[in-house]
Amino acid sequence: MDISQSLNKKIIDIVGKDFVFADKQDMVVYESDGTHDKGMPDFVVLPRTTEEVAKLVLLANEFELPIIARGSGTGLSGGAVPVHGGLVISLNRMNTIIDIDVDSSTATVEAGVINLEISNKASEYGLFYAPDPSSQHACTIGGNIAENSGGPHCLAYGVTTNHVLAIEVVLPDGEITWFGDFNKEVPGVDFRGLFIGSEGTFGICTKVVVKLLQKPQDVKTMLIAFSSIQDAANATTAIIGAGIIPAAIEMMDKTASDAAEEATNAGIPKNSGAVLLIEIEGFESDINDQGKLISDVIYEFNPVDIKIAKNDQERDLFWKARKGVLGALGRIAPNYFLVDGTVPRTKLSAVLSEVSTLAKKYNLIVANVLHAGDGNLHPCILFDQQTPGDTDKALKLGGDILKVCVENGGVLSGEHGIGYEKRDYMPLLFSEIDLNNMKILKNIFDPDGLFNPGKIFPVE
Amino acid sequence: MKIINDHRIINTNYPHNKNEFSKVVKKLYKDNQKMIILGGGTKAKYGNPIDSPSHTVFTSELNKVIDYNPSDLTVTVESGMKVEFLMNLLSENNQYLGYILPNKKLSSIGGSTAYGYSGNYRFNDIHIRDSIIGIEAINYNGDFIKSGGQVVKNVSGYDLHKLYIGTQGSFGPIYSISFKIYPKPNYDTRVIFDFENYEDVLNIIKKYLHLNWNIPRLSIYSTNKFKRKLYRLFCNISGTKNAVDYIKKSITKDIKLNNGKLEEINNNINMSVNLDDFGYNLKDEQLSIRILSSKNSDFHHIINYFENCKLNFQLLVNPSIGSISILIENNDSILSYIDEIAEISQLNNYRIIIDYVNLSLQNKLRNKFKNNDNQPIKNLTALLKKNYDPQNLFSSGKFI
Repeated sequence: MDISQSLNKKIIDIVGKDFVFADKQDMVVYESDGTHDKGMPDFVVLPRTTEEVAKLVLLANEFELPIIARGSGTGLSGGAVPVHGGLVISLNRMNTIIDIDVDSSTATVEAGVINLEISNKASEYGLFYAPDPSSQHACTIGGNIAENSGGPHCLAYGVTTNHVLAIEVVLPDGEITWFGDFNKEVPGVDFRGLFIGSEGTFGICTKVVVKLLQKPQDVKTMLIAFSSIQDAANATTAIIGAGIIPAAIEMMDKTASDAAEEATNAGIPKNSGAVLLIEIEGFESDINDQGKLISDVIYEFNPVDIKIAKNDQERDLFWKARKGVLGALGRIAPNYFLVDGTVPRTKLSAVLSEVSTLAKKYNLIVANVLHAGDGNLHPCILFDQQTPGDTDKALKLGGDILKVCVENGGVLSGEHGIGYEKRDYMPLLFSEIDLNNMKILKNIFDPDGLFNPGKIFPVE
Repeated sequence: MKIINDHRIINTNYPHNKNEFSKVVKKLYKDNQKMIILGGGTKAKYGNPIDSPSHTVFTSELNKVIDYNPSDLTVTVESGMKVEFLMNLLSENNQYLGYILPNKKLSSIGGSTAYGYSGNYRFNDIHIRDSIIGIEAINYNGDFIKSGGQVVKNVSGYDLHKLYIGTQGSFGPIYSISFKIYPKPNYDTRVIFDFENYEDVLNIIKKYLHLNWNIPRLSIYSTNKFKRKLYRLFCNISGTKNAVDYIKKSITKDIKLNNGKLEEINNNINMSVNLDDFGYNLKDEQLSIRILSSKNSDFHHIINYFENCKLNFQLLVNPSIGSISILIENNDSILSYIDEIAEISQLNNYRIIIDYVNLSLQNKLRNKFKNNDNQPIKNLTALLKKNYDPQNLFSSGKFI
């Protein structure tokens, strides 16, 4: 029996034969995520319990096999791609909502639970889980923790790390422990905070305690069209500058909004330079006041159309258009490369101008989709990978956009993570000393370097 | 040898700029000298005493604003800046941190960060651990280490800055800190209600705790100095005028149903209790501790204990934070009381933190309160210390 067969047998002993894949045709779907990066794993295994995960980690250690934790594979940085092969531990079977504690407004869930399912279950008690990535109908909470995911409503509510109280983790030595506490006051190292956003390089998260919020009394959703993207960007800066923090301020430029409208018939005015989708929440009287304030502020930026969702159905349609925009862009080009920089909010307009200049230089279409309120840009570079040279061109343009973000005081990733895709851009943002200090942290958690190798750090 | 805030000091240093700060740290480390970094020096009595004489590096001259554009809702400042200065700066633009750090006149931003306590007033449950978006620290070689940034959404690399929040300088000095900030609510009203029964006040708390309404403070105060058993509920309500009126009306109605009595509604009440600084600026004979619960707790056991003991006390229960702050007049038999409080806390899985104590008592209390971290966390913490401070010279003995 060769090593591979022996390992296969040991994996089967842990999880049973139905939950191990070792044939290439069975593992094709596990070789990539939402990006174009690819890497074929040696094995894919679907454990059901934390103890099984711990045993698999020990086994991988024994065979010096890379370990890549995976949720639904919706990531957009190549974070779950097994670029060095190894054991992909897919957590989709660990999908139980263990407890909703209404008294303390918390939910305890397994890492493979789909993000939206937490809110669906919590809604029975008038509660919801705030971070709402656009892929929330598919992405798992474990994946959200790996990437510290955001979403449109993170403008008011904050990102994943602000809503996760505690996590159960299998450490690289196979130990099972909990990081975090229901109480943030506990002095000492915030291992919970360090782990969230570490992209699967410190261990595997298996259970999570999240904070739930009471559903707002009332919601108002506004769709505002502007004649230019600059006007929409400046209006966003002015709203925030005026001290108004809506639940969400999302932006789509003309290319994106036209595609979204064609796909959904949501009622987005066609041929406008850009649209803002603004949502405000709170008491009824309060949101009327806020709505009026926002209308006053944006008036200076020449809005060409303002629509207010008349009911939940219309609101859902507006959001369907926004959250489904990436799919809608498939009408324009078969492939896209999504950039994820964040800049200070006051730099939005200037950075978008530079993005436009760069798109012309590369002769590629860029559809801009933004969590504008947070300064989080998603320029979506459209191309056809069948056209020779286009893929390289798109990747280079993406890199240049990231450089512009950093030059304007911004960062490489707002919510998707560095992963495999952006690792070589890290020196744009961090010095060698910064990176070495991050490596120290990595080595403390994972001295053998088996957890999600090839991610975050640039190739030396 | 000088004594500053009960610390035995070999020498004091006052770096005036970033480079001087780095040079001082580098030299002390190279010379194998223990050091503590002090801002306002107000947290020196927190936790364990420093285990041996140390050099002190004061950050008080490092007090500049590095970057502040109000429209970005972020601010970056040097770590020696006084909390009050930053609060005033933000206030000029109708902004704030979202919480009120205690002892704002004397405390520095860096000290408050290293301490990791956000006080008992918190808009939307915001904690200093959440609102810090970046830190520039200094390592043992005197090099600057950057983590995070000046934008509100950032997942670029590890959040190394989390290492410096709440760890009392154990991993090295902080040079600058970037915060996410918030527009100040238009209104902030304080309402006070009195209850004779602890259960009644808890009913109110339980109802309003999880509504995510803008109630940044919901604290219960009690003391044996009251002439009768009394629980005073301090309630801050903030937001727009409409929202504040709505919440105030709702709470006032519920208070009546729960046998409470409206004491005062006023924005500028002259109170005998300074809630923002509760447990700070104490006299030498006073002791201040905080007890933390890791689950939702009404701290019934602690309340019962104090109601029936002979100590002079004031306490402030903060259910939304999961903490109770207790201020005790020191007396001869304080240690036996402390033993009993420690026992109750251990039984209920509470954790005790000393916020203020005089040196003689601090030494007696050393390691009195057990740290119930599990073994993997202890191991990882030790490894972090070994790697980021290999000679154990930063805040030695204070925390680890």
